[in-house]
Amino acid sequence: MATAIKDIQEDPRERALQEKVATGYQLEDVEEMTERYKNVLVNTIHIAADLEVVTLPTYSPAIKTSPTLEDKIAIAAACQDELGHAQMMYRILEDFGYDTHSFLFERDPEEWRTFQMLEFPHEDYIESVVSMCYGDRAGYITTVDLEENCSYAPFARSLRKVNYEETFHVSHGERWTRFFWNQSEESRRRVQETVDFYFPLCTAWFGMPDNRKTRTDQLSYRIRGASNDEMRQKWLSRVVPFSESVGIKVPAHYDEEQGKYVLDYEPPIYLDEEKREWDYDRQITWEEQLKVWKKGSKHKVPSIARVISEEWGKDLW
Amino acid sequence: MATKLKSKKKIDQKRERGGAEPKYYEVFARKDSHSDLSHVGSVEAPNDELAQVRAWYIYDQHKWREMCVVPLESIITVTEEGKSAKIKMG
Repeated sequence: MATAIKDIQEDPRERALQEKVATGYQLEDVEEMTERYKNVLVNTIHIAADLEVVTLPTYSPAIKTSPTLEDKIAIAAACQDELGHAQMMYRILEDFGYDTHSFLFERDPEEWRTFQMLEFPHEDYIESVVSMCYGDRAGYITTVDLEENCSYAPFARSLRKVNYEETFHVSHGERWTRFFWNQSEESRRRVQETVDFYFPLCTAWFGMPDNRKTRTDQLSYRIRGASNDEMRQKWLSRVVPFSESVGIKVPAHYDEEQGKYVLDYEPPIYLDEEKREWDYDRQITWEEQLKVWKKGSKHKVPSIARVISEEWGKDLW
Repeated sequence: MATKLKSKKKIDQKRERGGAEPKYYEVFARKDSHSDLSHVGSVEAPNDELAQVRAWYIYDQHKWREMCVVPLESIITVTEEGKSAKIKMG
């Protein structure tokens, strides 16, 4: 394994392309790519497309339970945005030999590449707005990084629309999270409970800590510009001040000495999936965490199966 | 192990695509009468009518003043001589 990586690093074509993109050069055509570049790029877009689509079964239960027609429209509109983003990614993937129909409708749900943050169906509207406030913010930070830095220009350009629309989701989330915090004792309790659940999920969105990461092709081929830890730091620098300004308690703070935001717990920690509760004192190993991520929550397969078999029908409203 | 799906949507791909091969359209739009008509993206559709609908629904980030679609095969490349036009997502 180690020798294989070494061989490729020493391949002059791979090295030349890495140096070219490091200077800011952007590729416009598939013909300009090396195999290794193509693999890491396609993998990145593939995962991004899956993540857009899984928002649908995740958000949809809240369409039923949200209190007013406006709230239902807000969630449905966000779902429509996300599917539009997936459509554009599918269009790019087709240039790499993907068939959208079989990719979306004929793949085994277990093969979908999803992240834990987007796997838990929303139980109510408060969960949806908290998820937009913290989760879409996390997603936005990754897609903005891709728009600003991705060396494959067509993908970077396609993310302009994506990011434009994600800002609406984030500001919608922040506005209503603040509203429900101030509405009543009970809604405040529910906001805090939901943030308690989502905060570690969102910090995990950015993946392993940099010093644990072994695959760095995304950075060396400039598919992305920022590392996992840099993006996580950026996310913390937005959500921690926001939470503090509202009064929401979050397990992170700004450390004056280090000059950066730090978590008040040591990830990875144990999640009781049934209760949706984190045990901040119970650390698990990264190997265990990777297993949990790879397997997905118990909701993953039924959610995706529902998208594929289109069982929305009259249940939607 | 493969997951059993309760039901699977049946789609006639050939009919959806209007043929065995996908057909692509490039989408151009202008925000207001002072702005340039710019390339905003690309859609796959079996015919001109569905291309219009898909373009309008997918690229809905602005209330466009004007939007049009052009079949990719109609684009004649100048700088990329001898190749088909590259898809330039907007």
